[in-house]
Amino acid sequence: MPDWFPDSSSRLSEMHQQFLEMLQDGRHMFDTATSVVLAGGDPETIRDDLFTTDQRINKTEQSLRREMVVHGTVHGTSSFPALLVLMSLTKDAERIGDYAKNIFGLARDGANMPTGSRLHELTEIRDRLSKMLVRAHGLFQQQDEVAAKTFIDDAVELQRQCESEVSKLFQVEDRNVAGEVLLLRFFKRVSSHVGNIITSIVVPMDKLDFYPGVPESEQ
Amino acid sequence: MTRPRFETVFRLLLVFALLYAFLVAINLMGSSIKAMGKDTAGGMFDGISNPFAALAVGVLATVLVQSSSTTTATIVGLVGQSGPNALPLATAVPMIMGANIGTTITNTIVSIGHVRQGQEFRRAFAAATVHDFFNLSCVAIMLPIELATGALQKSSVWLTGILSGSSSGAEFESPIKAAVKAAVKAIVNGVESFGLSGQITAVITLIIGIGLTFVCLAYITKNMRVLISGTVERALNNALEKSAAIGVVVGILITIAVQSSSITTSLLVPMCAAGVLSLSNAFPIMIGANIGTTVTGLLASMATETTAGLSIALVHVFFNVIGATLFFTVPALRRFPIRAAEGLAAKAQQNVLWVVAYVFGVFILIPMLGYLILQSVK
Repeated sequence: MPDWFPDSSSRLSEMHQQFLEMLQDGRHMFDTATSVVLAGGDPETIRDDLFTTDQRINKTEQSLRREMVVHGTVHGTSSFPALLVLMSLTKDAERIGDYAKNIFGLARDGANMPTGSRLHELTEIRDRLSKMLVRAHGLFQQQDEVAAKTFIDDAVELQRQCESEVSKLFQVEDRNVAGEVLLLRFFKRVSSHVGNIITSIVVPMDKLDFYPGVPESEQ
Repeated sequence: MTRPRFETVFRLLLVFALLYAFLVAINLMGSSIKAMGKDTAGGMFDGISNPFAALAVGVLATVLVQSSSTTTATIVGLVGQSGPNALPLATAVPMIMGANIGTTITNTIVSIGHVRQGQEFRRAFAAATVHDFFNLSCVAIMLPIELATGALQKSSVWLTGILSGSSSGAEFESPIKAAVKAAVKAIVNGVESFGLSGQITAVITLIIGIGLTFVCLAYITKNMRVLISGTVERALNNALEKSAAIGVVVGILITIAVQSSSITTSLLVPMCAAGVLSLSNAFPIMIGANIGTTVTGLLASMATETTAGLSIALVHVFFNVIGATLFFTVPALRRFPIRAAEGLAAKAQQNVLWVVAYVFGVFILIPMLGYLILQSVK
């Protein structure tokens, strides 16, 4: 039966759906860009797909912003907390796409990547992060607080690992590690943004982007 | 949070009940003036026989109650009563035009909320005043023509004749009116049960009628706004970058649903301020709101004693539909309100005194002085 009198929640759900599409696109960009930088394929083969997806993310973000203004205007102050959260989330989702572009830039500019076990370690981090992006999608739909806390712990652990790897790379003298350092930094940032998205499930609006249980020095 | 289904049903029933009460209020107003007798009420509208004074009264009354729906419904009620005390149609026409001007003050006030935000205020103020300039221009063009030819009156009386099967302004009966009359009789009996009679009863029931009209419209708007907020949001999202025709339709439908053009036009101001809706896309929605608001008068005419109520309601429809057609078909006219609003907004951004001078001058000082001067030279 059609809903003749939809309330504010139905439109908000649709906006959340659009945000999830942004997140899905971000994951696609991340997977595509990292596969080229780590497997050493021709960056030109993914350029069009990557930039088309990025444009779609940007357009969805802009469209969501317009819809948020309309939603806030029509439904008034009661809608503001949800809209402010969504505004922050879309920014995080958009940044994931941006970092995927930066990763693509590493491949395009021919950044040196390690081989052997070191490459395997980086690929393992990439795989974990890619799975986290998929998990984040499902978690946001389910709004599962327990799973969200586990997710945040995983994100923090991954960020710490990236930081630690970068520190170790500063000691390396026998090869060019600039590309590797940047890639790890980008992994950390992607992990941070997807973690920010999941904080919206467990923390109040003013604590958004701050991980519960993590020391202030690490926030 | 999802709205429970019972709340939706309750609000819908409430709206129907309020609509009925609104019709009762309109009929009560008319019957009260009729009951006042010729001596008391006969001179009531003599003071506004000058069309420009009537225009000023329309502006001031609407500014005062912040609702053109209330003003037009009251005018329809006063025109549509039977007997010698009815507000003459010729006097009511400029009053209806004045109500159109007066109603635009609401979104202008809404735009002032953005006054500290430079460009944002400029866009908000332009969005608010484009409606003002459109309505002022319509009156500037159509009032002189109406005074010279009486075209609006004649055509509405002609159409009333066709719709009601009588062009004489005679009384006509409908089942709705019978149901309304029963309630009116009950209210009058209720007032008389306090031992009151004659003109005192008439004055009290007139006050009840005016108050009830205002309250009913306010609560119809409030409930409908809650009920259709999701639909309004969808419609506005669709109208953001669509054609002018869609904008007009969206404006008409939202305004009919919420029974308030001010609500529709005020929603557009923050959207324009944020830059998500352009002035040229907001303008058709506002014109649609002007047309949509005429439904209130048509509803009110269902409760009036004579077909003259329908005639003045149709004048309101014709005035707004012709105005919209004129401004959409003549490109120069269409550009004028937008350019004027942008020009004024630029001045207002530079100096806030422009805002004060504009709002006070157009909506209060000029109508008031105009009314007083015209009264003194009568």
